Amino acid sequence: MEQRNTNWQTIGALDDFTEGEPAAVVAGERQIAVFRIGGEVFALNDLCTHGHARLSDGYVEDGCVECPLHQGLIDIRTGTPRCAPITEAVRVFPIRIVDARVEVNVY
Amino acid sequence: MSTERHVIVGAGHAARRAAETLRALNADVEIVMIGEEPHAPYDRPALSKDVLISAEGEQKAFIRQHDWYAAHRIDLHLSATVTEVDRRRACVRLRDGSEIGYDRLLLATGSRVRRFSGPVDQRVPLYYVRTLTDARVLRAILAPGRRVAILGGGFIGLEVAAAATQAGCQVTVIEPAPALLQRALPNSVARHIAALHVRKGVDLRLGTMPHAITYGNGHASIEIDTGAVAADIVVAGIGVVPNVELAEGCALDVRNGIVVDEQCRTNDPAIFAAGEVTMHVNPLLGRSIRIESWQVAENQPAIAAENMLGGGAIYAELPWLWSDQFDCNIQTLGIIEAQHRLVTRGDPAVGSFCVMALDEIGRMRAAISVNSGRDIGACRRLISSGTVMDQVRLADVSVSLRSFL
Repeated sequence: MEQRNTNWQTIGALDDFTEGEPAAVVAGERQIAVFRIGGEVFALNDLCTHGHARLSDGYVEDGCVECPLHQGLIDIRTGTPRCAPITEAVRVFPIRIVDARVEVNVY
Repeated sequence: MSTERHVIVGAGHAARRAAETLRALNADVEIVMIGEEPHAPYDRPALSKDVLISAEGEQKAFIRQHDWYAAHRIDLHLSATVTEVDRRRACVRLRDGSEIGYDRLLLATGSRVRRFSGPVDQRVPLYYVRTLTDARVLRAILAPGRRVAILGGGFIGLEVAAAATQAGCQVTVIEPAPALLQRALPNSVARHIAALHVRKGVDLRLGTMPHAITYGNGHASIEIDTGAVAADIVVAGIGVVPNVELAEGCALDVRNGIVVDEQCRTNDPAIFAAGEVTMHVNPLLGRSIRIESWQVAENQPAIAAENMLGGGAIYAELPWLWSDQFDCNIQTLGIIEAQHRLVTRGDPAVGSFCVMALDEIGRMRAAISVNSGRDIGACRRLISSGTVMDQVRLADVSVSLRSFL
């Protein structure tokens, strides 16, 4: 039985995720954009808060993803907007790595 | 020493960005903003899209709410018109006769729609999409089954065509040029967008001139070269003209826009201009240009504000714009010149592709993306890097664009 606010789902092996190439995954019926930065993995809700764009299609640089529709910037670690036209934060989902498997908490 | 007063003429997107930057850089200067419309500044991209479809769409337009301006001590004069700039006395005169003195003046007067110049029966209201009020008026009448005729197959005309179609209207677009978006896009992209509109049910009448708008049998009729188009609603999206009259009236340099250098300075050291009203030096293109885009309204005024406060910042960006039509996102980056070679990456038949323009030695100079915005991020970096590209590998989608960097 899962506790409330906890719904860890396996989304792949650590090696499935490549630096600079965001991935789109579905976990617990949610669309999630997954980013690898160095040895770490981060997950954002795969929808820009400005346009209806998938952040997994964005260009990644310096810890930010650039929205593919209107080129706003989102901080991958925090979901915070860094550049107009995005003004609202994007939801971040917790990630953990268990035995080189990546899990996301889509509570 | 008394506090400097910075006066901004105009209260649109560019004016907001200038005011925000002035306040962020200096807590003390007086900031006055004067605009003709009754609304606090808003961004225009949503007007020809979301705002035409729903009232909620308006939320996207207001980046700052009305009370933000007072909270940041920005003295907002709305529904107010500046009729004259008196450079000798360093003040602006308003229609009500009042005067406001300035230490630094920013002209952010933007553009207004170009009016249809042919005869229009007075019983036919001709709609435009420029202001929030325009968009609200049009939204209220777009309803399923209405016949909407749109004069102009440019970005605005096509975005309105998409929104009206989504609202259930039967849409006809009338464009004098033989193709859509001829000024802005290569043929392959223009053809793709035309096919998209036709697939969605838009009736495209290309290469035909609208001569007159008449009225009879309870509806409007647009007379074109090849006959007539019946319509319940007529919308014109035939371009804009820059609001240069104030600048002309006080003998500033004007040439298809208020002439400024790369620091947003006019030929009067106390007067700056920013936004789409400017004919500005673009150091990346090596020439002056006036651009009607969100990007210029967003970023150029911040440079102007910095320099109004004594800075020496330079505005140098590759022109970039986007258009959203139905489920299609189009972006253009840089400017395609006649001598450029075009390379297509991706398959237009699949609906996602990018056309890149290379110069004579193979450096990328411009790119157009259709539902492939991810490529634009890479192209911007490739254009600024000046890397010489291999045409064959560039067209190969199995080769990542990042790998060229």
